[in-house]
Amino acid sequence: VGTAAGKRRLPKREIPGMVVVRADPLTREGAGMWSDTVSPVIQETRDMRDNCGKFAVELSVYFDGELEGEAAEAMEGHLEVCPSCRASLEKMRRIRSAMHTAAKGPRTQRRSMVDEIMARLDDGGKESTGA
Amino acid sequence: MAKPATATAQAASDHILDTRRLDNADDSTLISAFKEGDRAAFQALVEKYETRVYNHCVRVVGDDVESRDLTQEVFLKVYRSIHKYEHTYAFYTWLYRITVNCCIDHMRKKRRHTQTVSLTQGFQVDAGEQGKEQEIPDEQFGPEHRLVNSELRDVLNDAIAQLSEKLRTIIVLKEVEGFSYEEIADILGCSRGTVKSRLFRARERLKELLAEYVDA
Repeated sequence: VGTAAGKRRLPKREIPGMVVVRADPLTREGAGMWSDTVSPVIQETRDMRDNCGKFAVELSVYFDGELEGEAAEAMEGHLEVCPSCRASLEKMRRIRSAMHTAAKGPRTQRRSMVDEIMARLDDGGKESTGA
Repeated sequence: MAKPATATAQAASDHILDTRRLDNADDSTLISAFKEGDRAAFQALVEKYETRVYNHCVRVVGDDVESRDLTQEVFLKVYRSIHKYEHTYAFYTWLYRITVNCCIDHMRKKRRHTQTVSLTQGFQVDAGEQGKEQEIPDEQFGPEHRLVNSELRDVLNDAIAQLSEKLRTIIVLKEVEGFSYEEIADILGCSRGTVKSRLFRARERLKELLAEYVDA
């Protein structure tokens, strides 16, 4: 799967950040070309696709601790020599940490919905129950 | 041991668990009692899981009122379809599947409108946990982009709101709620491979949307 994904070319229209180069109206120079000015994230994705194809999805799996055995060892070996994948891993870690921090609050007083739910059952839930 | 006066009384005696047993009963016991007609057992399940169901709803849908409605809808579906529940999966997994599907259906209906989500809006905790929140700078984003929590939430909520329903759901299940790949596959009714690829896509999209903050 990793090899196939590595060889697959993303449709240009689906790559955000890419800009079509306007062709010179007289010479047609630049027609069909794409600007190299892409965002760092897109460039990183391209690098991973080109250089680390089979590791791209697996890196996310490794980050989740769901890669085992030889696959995990291969990933660790790759990370030692690949700054692009190390940077990608660090970004995942930052996003996770930020999401954890954000999810901690602000917190509101717990207001139970039990009474509302049981009242709705009284309004018509009984007939439908499989009990 | 005295016999109940009537068969009805015997049935009632069999079906109605006392309060102490309900408080300590596991899911399997509660479900069995509920299937036999014990409403108190269903109420105990609601009390046990309502906060977790609500929190998932508000994390992916973002609106307190809508999330409360969704939570009620989830438990009404549980009530109506408990006879379909089999012990192949943990009740918690089955409940989450219903919750996720209700949220995705809801978000699809709202897709035409601009959405905002909140990892925390109306986030419920028990009374004892109230007041612990502080404005702590996040040290994990890049040094030049340390944010206090309120700013961090805004940035993240905006980014998550731009994800598709499926990507939003899976990133919350994994990063906030901490489910394993196997559990997520069971909840979503998909393969482990789909979980892998969907999480990868969600993360790539978030990296792109949060590039200003996560780039070294």
